[in-house]
Amino acid sequence: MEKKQSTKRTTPSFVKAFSFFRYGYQHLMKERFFKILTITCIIILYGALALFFTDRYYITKGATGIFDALYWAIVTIATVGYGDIVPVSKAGKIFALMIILSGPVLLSFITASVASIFVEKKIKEGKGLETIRSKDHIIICGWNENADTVINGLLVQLKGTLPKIVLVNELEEEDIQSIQYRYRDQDLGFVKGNFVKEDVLARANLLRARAAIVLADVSGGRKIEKADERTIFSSMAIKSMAPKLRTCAELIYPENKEHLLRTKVDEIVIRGETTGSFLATAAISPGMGDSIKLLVSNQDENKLWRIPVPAKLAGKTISEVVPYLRNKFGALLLAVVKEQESMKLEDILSDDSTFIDEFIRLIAHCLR
Amino acid sequence: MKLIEANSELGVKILLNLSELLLGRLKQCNQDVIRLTTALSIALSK
Repeated sequence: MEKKQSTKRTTPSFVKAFSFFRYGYQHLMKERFFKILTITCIIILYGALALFFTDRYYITKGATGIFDALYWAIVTIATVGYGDIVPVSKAGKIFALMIILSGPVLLSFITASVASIFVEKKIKEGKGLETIRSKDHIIICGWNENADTVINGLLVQLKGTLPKIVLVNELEEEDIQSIQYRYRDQDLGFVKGNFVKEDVLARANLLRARAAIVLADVSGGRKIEKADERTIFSSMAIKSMAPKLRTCAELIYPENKEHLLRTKVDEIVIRGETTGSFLATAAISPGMGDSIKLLVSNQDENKLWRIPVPAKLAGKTISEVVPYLRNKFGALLLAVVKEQESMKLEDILSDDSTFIDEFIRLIAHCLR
Repeated sequence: MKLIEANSELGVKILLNLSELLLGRLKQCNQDVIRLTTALSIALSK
């Protein structure tokens, strides 16, 4: 299908806010923030009660009571000190001194704990040590000279509705900062580590991702000749962790395709695979090569797009579908793609459980 | 068989019921064979 098409798939803002609050809560738990907050509250309450019981005749402009005492304690511990309520007895003044001295220390602990959430998050993000919490994102494992084209391709094809892109590689911090600056308008995450390892992929929130792209990796000073091994291992790791995740992998050497196929990746792109046929086409049919390049390049807007068949066109002939698509989208139908998921053992189980169903379940269990 | 010969109307009904029962079991058996052979082919392809 040659047309522009966009799909609306963005993470709602309230989900992001909830995710941030959950992160903040976990961080505060680690920082013993709640213990300090509890101590502060106890001191406030203790000071208020002390003032109320030891100094019943304190000077106040309004009514005297436990609420005023509590108000005085909070105003004092927060170093505001309006002076509208003041202790007059010696005992009251001693308690006031204790609150005045402990207040700034406890409040500084609370302020520091809250500030450290933001600082630590920023530092971790910069170093790629942060765990990705978004979902429906696209993971790009590895980095090479084509990675920018891949990101640009995603930006063009999912224009305006682009989900978060998460890079998983071993680039240096300054390289990552440079990439993040290049795509500063986009939601770009970074996880530093060896993407062959499952814990690194788990940090990229692989289980909730939309798709994964495995590039022939040269990050961390690795050589391109060894890239295929890592592509195969990481594809295995991805498919074992998330079998249904759409995974596309790049290969350098065609002879490794058989090995990569065993990992059950959805699509394999071999570098330079089409170069020969392009050259041949260019020689025999001048202009044809350029036309195809335009269709697959990121610059041209007349792209190849795949859209689901509208429900009302189901069962219709191609001659009926073509005018509809031309009028509705200004698109030219090139092909109809049909995908069929391979049958699983679970699919042949009947509704009522019989001995044969039990036997099939047993086989399925043994094969896992 | 004597009953069927003696009362042909009743005999037809009995034989009809028996044949329906046997046919149902044969159909179920056929489906089970198909399911088991499919399961075997899936298991062997893995």
